[in-house]
Amino acid sequence: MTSGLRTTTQDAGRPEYTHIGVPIGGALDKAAMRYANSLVGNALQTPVLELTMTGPRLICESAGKVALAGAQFTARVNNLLVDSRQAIELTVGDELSFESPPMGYRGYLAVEGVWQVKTWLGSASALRIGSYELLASAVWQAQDVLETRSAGVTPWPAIVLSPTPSNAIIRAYRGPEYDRLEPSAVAQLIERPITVMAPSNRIGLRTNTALSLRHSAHSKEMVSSGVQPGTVQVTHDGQAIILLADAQTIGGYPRVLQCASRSIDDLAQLRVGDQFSLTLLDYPTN
Amino acid sequence: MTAIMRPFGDTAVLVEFASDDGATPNVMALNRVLRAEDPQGIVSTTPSYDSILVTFDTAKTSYFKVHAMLVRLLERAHPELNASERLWSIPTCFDPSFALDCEPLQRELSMSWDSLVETFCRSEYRVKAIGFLPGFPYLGGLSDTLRCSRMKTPRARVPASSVAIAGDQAGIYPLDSPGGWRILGRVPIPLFNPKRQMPALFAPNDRVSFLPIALDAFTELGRQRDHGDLDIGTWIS
Repeated sequence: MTSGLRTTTQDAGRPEYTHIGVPIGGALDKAAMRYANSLVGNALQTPVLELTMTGPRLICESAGKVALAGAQFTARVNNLLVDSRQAIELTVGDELSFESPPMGYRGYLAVEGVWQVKTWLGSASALRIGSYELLASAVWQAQDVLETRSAGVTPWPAIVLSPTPSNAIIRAYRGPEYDRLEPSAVAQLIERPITVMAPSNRIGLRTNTALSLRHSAHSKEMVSSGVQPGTVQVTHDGQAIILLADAQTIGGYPRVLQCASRSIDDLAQLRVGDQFSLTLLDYPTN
Repeated sequence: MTAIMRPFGDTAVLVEFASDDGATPNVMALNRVLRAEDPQGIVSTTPSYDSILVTFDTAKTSYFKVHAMLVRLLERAHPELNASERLWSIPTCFDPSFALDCEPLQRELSMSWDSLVETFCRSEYRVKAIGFLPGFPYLGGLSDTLRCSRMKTPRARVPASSVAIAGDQAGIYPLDSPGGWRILGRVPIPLFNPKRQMPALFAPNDRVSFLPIALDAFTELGRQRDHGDLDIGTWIS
């Protein structure tokens, strides 16, 4: 009925196409996506709706289960509070609505069944590049209808542990250009409160940092090389930017840190103004 | 082939070749055997100028297994076995109505527009990497006499299919997007078409040359494109 701030279809994204410059994309908080799907008995990579800060208002046209994970949105069915930490059974005509979460930023709504949605390059995920929507039907507008069909054979239910509440301590490994950080930059970046700055979005999080870098061993600028969700890059003006799922696939800024995969889901829940800190992890040795 | 390999976070290996002009064929050779082999647990491969980023699924493999697999594949990867390279001759219109930086480029490079276009079209380029935007080719091979600065303030919108230069590189914008490179012309087809089975026109290591065409020829190619009877196969040799 209404769409909320930005409500999109998201799944595991398109990691097979980074070699032609297509961002990986997909749900930013993938642990929440998997958990929500497990609650309704879906395959874990089934698409979900990614809710951003304000949720949509939805009308149920046929009975089924939904479940919500990620940021702690308050859910109501026909205006009555429901426990959104477990599957919610809906019947025809039920109206599902959400209130903004007290903390966290993105919620993930799983809907029971096999989603009948368009895909592009093997994924149902919305992807915006500049002002261009590469899969416009994955961006939800008022009056859009989601169709699902029964999965047929009920799959053996996956058991997924509830994700730990999101954490403002982000664990990170040294990145390929970690040595470019001056000691003063390490002191500012590691184990110190950092604030998320605007504009931040699905491409990356900006931070209130001003880091000094050593000049590279080569006088030439670094040539572009692969980056990932969770890569901490430092721009020419010294700002650390943490890349998220919709970031470009290669980059020319020093990659000083790489967030641990289990911390990347936590990054999805940070809002502009939130504080977090980075903790350094060592690589395992053989 | 020899390369340096190191972990890049807990789900990726960065493979780096000695950085020189000859690195890209090595990158492509390794990328080719990697994709052909499709080893268990590999999630993505991202080749660039002198490196490949390989990500993996820790539920199916481990850093040490991926490292050992890459050492094995490096022995089998030979640039001379790369698929026969494609050479594109791309019709390109350098009409001032497309060349948004026609004036500033002539001033910065102290060249007339005609000799600038002639110099640009005399070089053959090689796709060093695809990135920045889906399908955006980073082209090496720009003449030293055409090295130019980026714009201090990038444009909010560079039209799709614009041919651009900056520093010692050339590129073609696949989609309308912000951009700070200097615009000197336009090609008549989209470089990235989500509806094509292989959405990106170019692949890394392709060779590219630009064939100057007049505005009326460009308009005619655009008409053929819109009617679906433009055969871009004739542009490849």
